[in-house]
Order: sequence, then structure tokens, then C-alpha cells
Amino acid sequence: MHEMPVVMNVVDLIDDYARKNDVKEVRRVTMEIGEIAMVMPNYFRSFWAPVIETSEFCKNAELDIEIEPGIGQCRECECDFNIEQNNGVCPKCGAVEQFQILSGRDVKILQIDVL
Amino acid sequence: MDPFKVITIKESVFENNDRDAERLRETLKGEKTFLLNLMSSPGSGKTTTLTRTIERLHDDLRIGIMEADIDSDVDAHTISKTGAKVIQLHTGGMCHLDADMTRQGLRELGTEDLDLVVLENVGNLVCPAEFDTGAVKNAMILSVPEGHDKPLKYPLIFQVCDALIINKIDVLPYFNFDLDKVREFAHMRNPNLKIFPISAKTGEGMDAWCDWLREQANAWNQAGKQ
Repeated sequence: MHEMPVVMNVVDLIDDYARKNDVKEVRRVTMEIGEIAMVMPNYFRSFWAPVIETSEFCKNAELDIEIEPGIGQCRECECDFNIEQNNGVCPKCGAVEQFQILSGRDVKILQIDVL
Repeated sequence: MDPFKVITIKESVFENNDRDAERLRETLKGEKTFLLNLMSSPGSGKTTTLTRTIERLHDDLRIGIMEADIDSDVDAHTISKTGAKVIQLHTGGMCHLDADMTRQGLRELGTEDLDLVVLENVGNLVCPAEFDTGAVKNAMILSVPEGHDKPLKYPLIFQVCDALIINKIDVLPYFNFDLDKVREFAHMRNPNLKIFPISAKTGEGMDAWCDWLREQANAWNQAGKQ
């Protein structure tokens, strides 16, 4: 699905950065993928090898993925809870889908290890 | 082992697209062109609704359309019969458009002499909602045969839209579609959502929808003049 364009976007961003900052080669990329980011880490990983084949700087880059928990704050009782683990239901007051998302929606390039 | 350097980046992919989308909106404001992103499932009546909308608005606004599909130019062909400027974008298998792709499409279309551009996004209730295309407003179509529970099942698209068109109200008698329930569920997701029940086929409700769209486009283009 759309993990492939996200991977392509990430590799493009890194190639851009490498070009502008005198980097010779990228050896490792550490991503942070939010639990509720609508990007599946396993699909992201499966597109990594084919996409980096045509990259200028990332041809040999290994991929590490960290998961950012998806935390919501209940609008009714202000309790913070893990959205996925609780199926969107506040574990304290039982409010259904009444939360503000605090984290877990994003896909970030955390760091790159370069030569 | 080769010595290597660790560079902390902390660059968000979505924020990158969000920034790109904001830049596109600024460009559109300067050019006095209003861009609407129109989303829905396949078969809800986007193209028919668009055709009827163009027919009602083409005396007031110069309109251009970008059709986005995985393949074929069926929709562009249909729209071209209205006389509006139209281009067909093929997404190459991608299920949504982002700000960069939208910008490329707008460049192809040529927007200097257009007041209103509608991007008819890929038919999909999931992925298009996640990517800001740079549009000024988002609208979606939910049709009666799809059922009134969709706001419960697909929260994000209802959250990011400014307008919800309920199409095919002419077939309400044949389906268990509850207009009150869909309003309730949609407003649960997004209290500010403007809801327009229409039948693109019979024309019922089209005036209210077209009035809203015309007002939005004029307000945007007026603001661009300052």
C-alpha cells in the first residue's frame, strides 16, 4: 500500500541531506514510527531494500525501527492511556473514542550513521 | 570497522509534507486560485457530482479539474464534456496524493487563469485523509448505499473534511440509511463539518452545496488580492 512512497520519501530526504552536508555514505538509518501513524513497520521494512537500490547515498544503509507509543488523553477525565492497547476506550472512565492524541501519529527519521 | 558519524535528524515525514502543503496554499493564495480536495469511496458519485457542480458554477468561476486515478482516463473524459479544463493524473499505483504530486498536477493544468480547481482524489476512504494535498478545503462524498455507519468506521477522513456531501438521496427509500444518524456520527467525529444531502442525479440539494463552494472560492480569492 502506501508504505512504499513513504520509504521513497524518507530515502529522498536522506539523500538530499547527504548531498548538502558532504556525506559520503549512509550506513544506518534509525526511524521512529508511531503506533497509530497508519504506516506499518513491517511493510516499511519490506520496501527498504528495493528502494535503497536506486539511492545515491543509502545503497548499504541498514534500517532500525523504533516504535513510538500512541498515547491519548481522555477528554472526560484527562487520563493518559495507550490507544491501541485500550481500543480507544479510556481505562479509567470508560469514555469511547473521546481522546486527544498526544503522540504516535508521526513517522520520523531519528538519526543516520554516516561516513 | 570504518569510523562513522551519528547525525541526529528528527525529521518528521508527515511534517515535511505538511510544510510543503502550507507552501502550496501560500502560492495558491497569491495566484487567487481556490483548490478543493474531493475524496470518497469508489462509486459514490464524485465525477457525476463534479459534472453537475461545474454546470452550475461555470458562469461564476473559471474551473479546472485534476482527476487522479490508478489508471484510465474515463473520469477526465466525462468531465471534459462540461468544457472545463481537465487533466488526468495517474498515480502509478499509489493510493493517495501528497502535496508534491498535487503541485506537479497544478503545474500541468496551469492555474493562472483559474478561480477554482477541484482535485478528484483516488477513490479511497483511508489513505487520502492522511496526506495534506495543499488544498484550501477538503470535501468528501458519502453515498446512501454505503451506509450511515461510515463515520464510525473511518474516523480520519470525516475529521479532516470541511464539507460532507451525502449523495444519492433519491434512493433513500430503498436503503436503511438514516440521515439523522449519519449527521450524529459525522458530528461526533467533527462538530464543524458542513453536511449537504444531495442527489447529483435529480439535482436536489445541489444549490446549497454550490452556494457554499462559490462562497469559499470567492472569499479565498478576495483575500488573495490583499
